[in-house]
Amino acid sequence: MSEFQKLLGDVKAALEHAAGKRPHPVPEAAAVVPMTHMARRAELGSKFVRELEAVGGQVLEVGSASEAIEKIAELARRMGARSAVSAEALTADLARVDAELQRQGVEVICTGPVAKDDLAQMRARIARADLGIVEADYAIAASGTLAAIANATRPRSVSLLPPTSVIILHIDRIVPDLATLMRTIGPEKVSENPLVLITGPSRTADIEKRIVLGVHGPKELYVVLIWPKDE
Amino acid sequence: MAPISVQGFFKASRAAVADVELRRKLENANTRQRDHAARAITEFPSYQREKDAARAVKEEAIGRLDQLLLELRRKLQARGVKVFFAADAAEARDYIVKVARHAGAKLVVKGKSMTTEEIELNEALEHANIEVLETDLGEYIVQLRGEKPSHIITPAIHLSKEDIGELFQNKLQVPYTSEPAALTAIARERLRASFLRAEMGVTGVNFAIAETGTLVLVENEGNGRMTATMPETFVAVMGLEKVIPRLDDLSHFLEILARTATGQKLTTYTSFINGPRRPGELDGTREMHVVILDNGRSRMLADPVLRETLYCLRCGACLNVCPVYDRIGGHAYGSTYPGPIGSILSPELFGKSASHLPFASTLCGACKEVCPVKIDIPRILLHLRAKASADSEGIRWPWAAERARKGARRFARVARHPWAARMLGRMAGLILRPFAHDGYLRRMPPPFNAWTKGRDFPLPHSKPKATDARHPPGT
Repeated sequence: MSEFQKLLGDVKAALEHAAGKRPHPVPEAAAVVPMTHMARRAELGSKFVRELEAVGGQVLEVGSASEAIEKIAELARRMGARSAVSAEALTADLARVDAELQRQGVEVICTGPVAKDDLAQMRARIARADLGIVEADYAIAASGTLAAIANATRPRSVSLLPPTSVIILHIDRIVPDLATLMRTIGPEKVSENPLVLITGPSRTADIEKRIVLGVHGPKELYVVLIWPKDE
Repeated sequence: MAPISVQGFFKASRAAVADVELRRKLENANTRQRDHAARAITEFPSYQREKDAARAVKEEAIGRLDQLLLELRRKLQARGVKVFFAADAAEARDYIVKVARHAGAKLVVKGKSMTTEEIELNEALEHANIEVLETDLGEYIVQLRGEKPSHIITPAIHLSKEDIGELFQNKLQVPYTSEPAALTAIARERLRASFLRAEMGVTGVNFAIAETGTLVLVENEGNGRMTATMPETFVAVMGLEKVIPRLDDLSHFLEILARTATGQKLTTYTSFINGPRRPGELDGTREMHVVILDNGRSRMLADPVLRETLYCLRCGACLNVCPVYDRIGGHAYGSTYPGPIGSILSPELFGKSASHLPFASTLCGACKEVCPVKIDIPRILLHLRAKASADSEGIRWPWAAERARKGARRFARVARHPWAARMLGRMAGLILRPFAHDGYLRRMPPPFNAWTKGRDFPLPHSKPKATDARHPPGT
């Protein structure tokens, strides 16, 4: 790796040439006001909803996982969706979403581990689906952002290729801000799995700075927010 | 893209200033961009704190860049990523062309990347008979026009929706429309097929986290996600300054980057890319390469004044507030990187042919004010001006300096006698008044036309208010 040795040598020499200053300490975050669990949940939930709507996302609020399934089926019906693709959910109760959609006559593409030879075919099928359904691992209240950690049973293309994206989120997965999210996920998980943060539908402002939704990613983003009110 | 000569710059900027339509488009877009950013920043009380933190992280990261690059490489290699260090643009190009050939690529899709513009990758791939397709909407538009981006984050800022409508009509054989949504839909359809067909994808990198060996890519359209996950081979190109130490550092940058660049809280997509796909995975590429580019950056590192240029996040905020950029647009600079940041980057990246760019500034300081990592651009501009003037190979105007000195000496002689200065000022004001329009002289005879060729001359007041520098008012 001679080119590397050379470059590193240059960098080192450059650093020695300009002896570095000590880095400033990073300021600490402001203290959090103590709050009850329910109050905190309500605050994070409502902030998340407002922020998501501000970037063009739509929120479907439900009280439980089974209600979420009904809501998704209803959305598929309303849209006239013919096919849907779903990634494995984190909450076991959501496994029934596929069955419910199939009962309605929607073709459901299941994403499990894929053999090497089927990759292109599988992607093409996902690209043709009307609806992509995933569950978010976390969300950020401050910016209306969803975080999805990918693996073999939860491919990234489900939230990317179909024109309508449905993301299921449990309210207790919402954290206040980005810094908290990074700390919650942690370096180990980030180095193991691909992660994507999604803030609203795909958009552009490249033509006269006018915002247009739905460039290469989904045009519509629905978040099915599971928010149990009785506790 | 190496910048044009100083004469070329004068010619291009004169033409741009006279282009009323271009001025209208730039003003329109820049005003919107400034308003969006200003609102996003005011609404975010922690902005200042995050800015300070980001600056501190950059100081640390650049201060131990050698260790961080080693750590990044080690972590990436452990996951099967091939890491290549390119000393200059040619090495980077050759490597990427080699990878493309090896991948049997007929079509390469690209995410938005200023670094690949810097190394002129498209030209190199095309030269090797490989088709290259820009997929960011703005980049796609300028590529169709056979142009270069005129803004770091809004490549087609110099075009109106009507221009783009005509372009699509001519190049894509679609019915004319100037509706941004319809134009976007046309591009989406065209590019979707290419993403699934391309054998190779190339993107830039916004941040590389050494601790985890992760590349972070921010974008709004989804083309970056497509480019990094769909083709079988993926190449990420990054300047060596993009590395940051820890995952914990990232939020400071993400909290400020989108706000200053576009006025968003976060960009639509932030992708964390680690390596090629693992067994059983549907997405991700079979092969992944990271090209880490020097191309003059280690020289900036060695220069204590230039060093902070490497803190730049490429947010484009300095372009949006620059009075020079506002009037001449991006293309007139002739460099990959236009505007204030371009004027301090280009001389080291492209050498002598860019040594005039630091002079293309009024030193008003708006860029420094708006910079999210507080780069002292005016100071660096002065530093580079001094360097260019001292460099016997660079631009030299010894006669100009001599004349300026003589002029200043003459002025000093007069100014020592306040009554004489007042008298001369009053006389000049009276004599010149008949020639002035709205208080300005548009034309003067030689040698004073050296001034009026480029700008109007303010009419001296017939009743000048002279103050005594030795006893300023209020003392």
